[in-house]
Amino acid sequence: MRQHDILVECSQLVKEYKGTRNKPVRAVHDLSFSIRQGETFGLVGESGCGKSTLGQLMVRLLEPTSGTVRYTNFQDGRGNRKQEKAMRKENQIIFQDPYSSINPRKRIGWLVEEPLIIHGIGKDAQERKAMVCSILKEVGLDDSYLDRWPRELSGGQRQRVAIAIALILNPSFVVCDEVVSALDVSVQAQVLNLLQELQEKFGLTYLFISHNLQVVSYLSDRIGVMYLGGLVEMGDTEQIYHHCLHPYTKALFSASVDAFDSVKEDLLLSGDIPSPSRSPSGCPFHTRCISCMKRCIEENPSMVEVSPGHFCACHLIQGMNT
Amino acid sequence: MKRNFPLRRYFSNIHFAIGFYMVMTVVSLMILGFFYIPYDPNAIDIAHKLQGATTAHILGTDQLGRDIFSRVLVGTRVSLLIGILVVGFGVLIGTPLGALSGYFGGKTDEVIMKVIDTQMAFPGILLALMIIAVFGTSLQNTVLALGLMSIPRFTRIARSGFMKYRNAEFVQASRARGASHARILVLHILPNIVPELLVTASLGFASAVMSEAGLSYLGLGMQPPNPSFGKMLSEAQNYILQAWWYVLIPSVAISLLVMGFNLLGDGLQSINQQ
Repeated sequence: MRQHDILVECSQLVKEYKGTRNKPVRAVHDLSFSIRQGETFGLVGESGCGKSTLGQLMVRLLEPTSGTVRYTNFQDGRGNRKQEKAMRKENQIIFQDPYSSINPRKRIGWLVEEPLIIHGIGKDAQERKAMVCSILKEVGLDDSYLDRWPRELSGGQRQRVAIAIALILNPSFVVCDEVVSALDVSVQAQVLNLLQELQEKFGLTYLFISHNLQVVSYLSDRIGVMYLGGLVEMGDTEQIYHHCLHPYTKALFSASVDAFDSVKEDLLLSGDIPSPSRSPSGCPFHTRCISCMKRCIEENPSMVEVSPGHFCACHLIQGMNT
Repeated sequence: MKRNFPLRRYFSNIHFAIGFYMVMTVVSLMILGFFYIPYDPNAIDIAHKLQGATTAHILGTDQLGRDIFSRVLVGTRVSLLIGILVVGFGVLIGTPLGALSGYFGGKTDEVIMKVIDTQMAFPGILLALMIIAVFGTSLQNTVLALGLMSIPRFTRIARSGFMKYRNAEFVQASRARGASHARILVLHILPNIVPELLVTASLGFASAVMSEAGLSYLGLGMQPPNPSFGKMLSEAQNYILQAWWYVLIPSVAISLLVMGFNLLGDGLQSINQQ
């Protein structure tokens, strides 16, 4: 992996929320990984494991408690208005629910044009309108949508509008936070294909967050599996599919309906994800792991590169290697 | 193509429709007053005092022989003007305060809300009396006093609205795009709480008309000989046995305005909730 290929890099990222009785809730815990230029990095995990928090950290909607998010193609924007604005132009986020992520009281044309006005792009209204029309065309909507209200649009159309708004600034990095979860299955496929087409066309880099394994594996080049605020396994889609190592990843695959043939053991998890305000000792997954050992309760495993590009945090694997 | 659809939705609400027509009755009287007033409203004609309805004076005359219809036409101006100014005062000062309070929260919120709560602790009419006692009676001071009274309600409504939307996804999304706080406050959140502010404005208008009538009745609002509904009412009550219509006319005018705006507000509220 060449160094300059990396677009975004997180190192030792921690995000804590204030919990009850001053006990911090660790939504993201000591997380390090990087995303390469032009790839789609899929992030999977159960509800409440910190996927969305991570996504928002990566576009600076949230400030990390500690650790850094570093972008390689532009300056860190903290504390500098101009740089922060430049950063806001390069990073975009698309949210899960197209009904709440679009201002219901503004017309589509206004909404899509707004980012251009914020960043002072386009000489006059006419030029901006041409840009709006062309991006609407890219996402499969025509000029007739300019004067429509969001309430007149279906979920799929709204998500297309949200994509248009995110892409009109020609960003380099887009966080897709569960973008298809709120849509019908038939519309899901359309939107996924659209995202893929746009990626090729504009050379976008995606962080694709989802709890749906099929969706993630369909789109992603690499996949990270998250559990309780940390990554437990990360690797190429191929590696995660066919040779996943972590018991949690195995359980995820076996739980997903119609999953891949290579993993067919019945590994249903019992219990819920532990509360992030009371993380278990040792390996965070030991409370639900079927092959939990004494060592797992005492010691938190670190990420180990099992094969090139394939990382896993599990004592089982490390035991095998040594 | 669907432009008239929203209006139809409003008028299918019975409260809104009745309130609207009540208010419009008074408004059309005011408009009529700009073009045609039968007599000088302050012209005294003792020979024809306290007359009933005649062809010369369609609503009769008062204790000084002044034409009541002319005085009503001019009086509507005062009531509506004060209502508009007071509501404007409340909206222009109360809404920004509430917006800052709800959007930024924390210390800003605490400071603003402490001030507003302190102000709310004063009984409204007492505050108005105080201001008028200090600064004297005039249209400006009445507006100032009633305007100050109407600030808290707008602040509270705006605060709850801005609080509700400050972390809405579309607000987060525009933040991620680099939108400034001012842009988010004015262009993104404000349009979403306009319906609630309209309800508050409508109810605030009703209470401003009521308070102005109350102050004028006590002799602290508009000064004679200028006509105002509250003043007319207080003059008329001395002649209630000789000229019952004289009491009735300003009462009906006040009721039309107050009930009209209250119904309008109620109607808007239930339309918003649909």
